[in-house]
Amino acid sequence: MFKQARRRAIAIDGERRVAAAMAQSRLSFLAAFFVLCYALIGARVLDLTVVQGNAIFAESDGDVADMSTIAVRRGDIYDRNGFLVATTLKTPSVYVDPSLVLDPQILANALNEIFPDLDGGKLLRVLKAHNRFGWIKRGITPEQQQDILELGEPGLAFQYEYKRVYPQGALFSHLLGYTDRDGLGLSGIERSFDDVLSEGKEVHLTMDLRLQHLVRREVQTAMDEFTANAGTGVILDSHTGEVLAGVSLPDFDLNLVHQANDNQKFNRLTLGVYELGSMFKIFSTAALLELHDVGMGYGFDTRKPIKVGRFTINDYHAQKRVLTVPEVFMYSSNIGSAMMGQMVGGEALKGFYADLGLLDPMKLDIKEVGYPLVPNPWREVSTMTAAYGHGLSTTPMQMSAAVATIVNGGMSVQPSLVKRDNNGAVKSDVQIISKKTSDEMRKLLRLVVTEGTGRNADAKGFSVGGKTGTAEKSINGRYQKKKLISSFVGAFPMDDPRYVVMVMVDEPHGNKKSYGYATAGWVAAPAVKRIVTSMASVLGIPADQYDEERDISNELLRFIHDPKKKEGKKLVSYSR
Amino acid sequence: MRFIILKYGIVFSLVIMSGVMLMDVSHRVQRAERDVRKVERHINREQENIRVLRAEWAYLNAPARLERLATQGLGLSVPDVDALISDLPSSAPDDLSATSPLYIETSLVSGGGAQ
Repeated sequence: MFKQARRRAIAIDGERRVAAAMAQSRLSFLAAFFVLCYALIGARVLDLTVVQGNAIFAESDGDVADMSTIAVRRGDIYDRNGFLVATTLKTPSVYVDPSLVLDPQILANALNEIFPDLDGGKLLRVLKAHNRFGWIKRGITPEQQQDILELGEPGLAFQYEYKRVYPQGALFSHLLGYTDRDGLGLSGIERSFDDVLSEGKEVHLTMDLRLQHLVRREVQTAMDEFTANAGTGVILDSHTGEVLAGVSLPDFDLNLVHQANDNQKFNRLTLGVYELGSMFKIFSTAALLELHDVGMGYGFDTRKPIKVGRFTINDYHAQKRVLTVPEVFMYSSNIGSAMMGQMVGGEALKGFYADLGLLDPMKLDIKEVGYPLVPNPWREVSTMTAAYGHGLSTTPMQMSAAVATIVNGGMSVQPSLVKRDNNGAVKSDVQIISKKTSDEMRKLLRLVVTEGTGRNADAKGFSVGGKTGTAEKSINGRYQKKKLISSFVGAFPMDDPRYVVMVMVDEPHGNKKSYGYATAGWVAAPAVKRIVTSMASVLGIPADQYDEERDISNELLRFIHDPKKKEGKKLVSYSR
Repeated sequence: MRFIILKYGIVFSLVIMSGVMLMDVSHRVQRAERDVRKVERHINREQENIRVLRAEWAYLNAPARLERLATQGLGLSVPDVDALISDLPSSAPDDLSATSPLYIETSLVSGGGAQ
């Protein structure tokens, strides 16, 4: 019995022991679990404070810019050789939280020292305003930012924004264009290529920075010399139509658009339309040679002015005799050209001008394109006046393109401002005039420079050809005798012209050096000559490729009454 | 019994070990990520600086400025072909097709003037 009880007791005892051991192990297990938890927490604390602490602290070091809120950076623009023309930089803008400003008056004075251009009263109003935000100045320089940081004012803070920067200042103003503060293109290529640029893609211009500069310089020189109002200049590649330089003066610094007035902002090269006068004789003569087999010796009786209704067509420097085709062209005879226009006929002449793209707004890489003014209705007298460029207004860019078509062998030229692909511009395959007519026109244009009204454009060694154009400005429908548009369009080298250069000067005034003349031969032709010689040295065009004995205009000399070349005397070159 | 304790012990220490290792790895990943961010920020900053410098370079190399410096500082001038021709020795033939040094001289004179 006892034995049994004892055995039971042992059993109970054993059970107890087992239960106790179980409890103990569970307890220690739990304890270990908690210890581990604490150890983990401890380790994490150590990790965050000691190990990572410095790194997290270092993360905020000096870098305040958070650009995540700002959209894609606008693409850069380069010239044809890869020189930077427009770029976008991250610039700080400083703003104020007026509720944090300690003393608005002191702060206003301090800020005025950093930004002398800010209006003190306005600044104080912003600083005292009962709100939590106000711009002080947007787009400041790093130095100004440093100055502001040194003020230690808690109410001032920075926000980073993209700002369009034009390192070349005014060089490309009109064709390149500008953007608004938020980076939206407002004019020029910035506007027409806005969708490309706003995606961050680059744009490469056809223009050459160096040529652009020298055209700008020479047009400015001509304007200064003849105290003119305005001027334009352009260099075209006569085969591809690439605009190598295009200037409209006066211009403006693209970085300071808000300071420019409307006169500066007006794009005279592609938007302004002008009566360019005798330059149209290039096209009426080409039309005659193209459509009628007259031959260079054909005579035009220019002894008497032509009267059509109340209209009289006169020559400015009448030769008072029968003139051959080359003579009409080189002396720029209005009577002769009017007769040519009559021979070609109204419809044909109009169609010819239209084919050259002179009667419609041109297609261009920018949207600022002027509408030509064409006589409407086109009467018989319109045919005669249009033959010498009277009563017809076009943009200088359009004129240059049409001349390029005439001299390049007759292929249609479409000016472009932006390079397509890397293969370069595609040559046009639309033939406007025949190769033969183009060849004849080259000779005639060269003759104008060797013998005629454009002698001041004769850059020695480069075989320049061209045509003067002097027109009276029409103001409110009345032609002003004293207000001229003097222009010259040239091409070189004339045996296969690669470049077309045009200069137009608005309201030049004669000076002593020009014997009082303000006509194209005195104003624009020398400017073209200077451009040709300068661009030749920039582009490395040799000056020794020209041979006077083989000048293409020589074969026209036999149609000329008294070639100056033979007499060897230098006459005053007058021109109309 | 002892076997169970041993088993738990091993599992337990494995858990702890793997926990520690995991923490270490994640820690190293975080640190690497932070370094990457730091380097990226650095690159961004440098790229921004490069952009500023490029703009400045373009500004300083603007043809108008170079021309002004060349005329004022170096006494260079814009090439004038007529002047060059009149500078040629008088014995030189009038026509330029002869082996004239004109091209070389022109490019020499222009070198500084027009960038």
